[in-house]
Amino acid sequence: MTEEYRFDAYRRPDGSVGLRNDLLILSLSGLTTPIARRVAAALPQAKLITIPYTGGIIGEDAVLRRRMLSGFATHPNVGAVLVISCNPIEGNLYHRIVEASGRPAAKLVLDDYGHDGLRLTDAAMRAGARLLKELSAARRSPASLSELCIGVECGRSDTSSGVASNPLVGRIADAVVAGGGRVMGGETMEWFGAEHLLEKRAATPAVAERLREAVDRRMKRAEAAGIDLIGSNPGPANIAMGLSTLEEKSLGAVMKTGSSPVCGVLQHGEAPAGPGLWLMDQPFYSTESLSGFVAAGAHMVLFTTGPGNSFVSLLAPTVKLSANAVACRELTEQIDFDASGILTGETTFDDATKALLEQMMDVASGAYTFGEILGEGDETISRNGETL
Amino acid sequence: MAGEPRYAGFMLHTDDDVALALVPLKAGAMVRIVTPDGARELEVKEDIPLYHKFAMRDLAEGISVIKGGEAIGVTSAPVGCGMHLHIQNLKSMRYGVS
Repeated sequence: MTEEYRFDAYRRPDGSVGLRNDLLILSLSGLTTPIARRVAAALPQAKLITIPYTGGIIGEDAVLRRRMLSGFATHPNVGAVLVISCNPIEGNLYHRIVEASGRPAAKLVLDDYGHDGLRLTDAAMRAGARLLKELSAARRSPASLSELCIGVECGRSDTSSGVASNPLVGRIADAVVAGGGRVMGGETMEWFGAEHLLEKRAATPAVAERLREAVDRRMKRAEAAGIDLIGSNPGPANIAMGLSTLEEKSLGAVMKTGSSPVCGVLQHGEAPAGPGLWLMDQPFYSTESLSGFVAAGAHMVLFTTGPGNSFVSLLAPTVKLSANAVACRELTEQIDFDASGILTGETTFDDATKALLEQMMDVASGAYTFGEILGEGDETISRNGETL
Repeated sequence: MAGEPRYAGFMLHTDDDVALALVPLKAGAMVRIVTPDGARELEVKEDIPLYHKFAMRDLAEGISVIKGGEAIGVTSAPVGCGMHLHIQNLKSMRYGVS
């Protein structure tokens, strides 16, 4: 059934396909953030990622920052990049990374403008305008599910998520894997209570071991911080909505990953090495979690919610879905896919799976999500340690 | 979705021990439940809040409760068919959730 799902995408010189052909303004320091915002305001078709910290990032944080920035700079939905840096070392590094991927790029370094932000703004607007002109000539060509990479996410879940929208996303995950594509799940804390199921699906004993270690590591960090996850999870709001045990909550969350074998456990922002289902060991908070998928090359995100959640990824079109009838009725400019009919018997999982796959192919081919139209997206880089 | 839903209960798997209330249910109500294999009917014995669970069969104390084909906990008291199944009679199998 997966052969019939095709979409039209932009072909990149590095062999990937893009669902969008964005100009990314990538600002690498807090010093250039206000300038980059001014440039982005002048070029409304461009997308802006700006990172507030640069100096004194060390160890694990320095490695993560480079992995995330490289992932953003060469994201498949990005057609060209305007790199704005305060110093030539970083400016040259990311300019070269973009050029090596075959994408057009321009670099503007504050040192080269005597730290005159206005002169840099002028040059950046002109360079960005030329890149946008060049990008606009590109045309789409047919692509298949085997070229697609998606992330699956949930935020502000309720009981309807666990029994309807998450299992629906799981069916999509299975269809994308069956079609030869890539699927990433994450939010490590939400494996806690369902590890036994994920471990059973691990492709190798080593993968099962890494899954267990990933959960244990975060549990230990929480304990060291004096947080009693076991006693507080599910929380009072979850209990009020009818969730009784931690197993029930986590079992609902991991349904998003479907039933395929788990090929491996990725670091935050690490790209999957091949097709299939992958799990990313990462923070559970949506803004951080989505950026991990994006840096790893996710073209699109399926994001389930119960009563609603407005946040989306900036670079990966995010299809928001809910099975909560009230959310679907009230949030008419947020929920892209209404899955509430599954609960009321008005539709079946099979029919909803088909309809959602069709909507995904439309979005892949250029149809906007509400999050894109309203500009609800952002990207961020997580931090673990202290800056020097 | 206009009007009353055709079903007031939902089962993810046909063999599950529990169903979910799609509307707040009153004790004594005869509930039509959607399942993967068509509709079932059951009388609920207690008020069931929106999206909360009720037992689809008599459950003895100390047995695993299956929802979505997986065990979500263990009964800490006997639960009669049609009764509200929540923290008062369902406990985590692995963790000390109160």
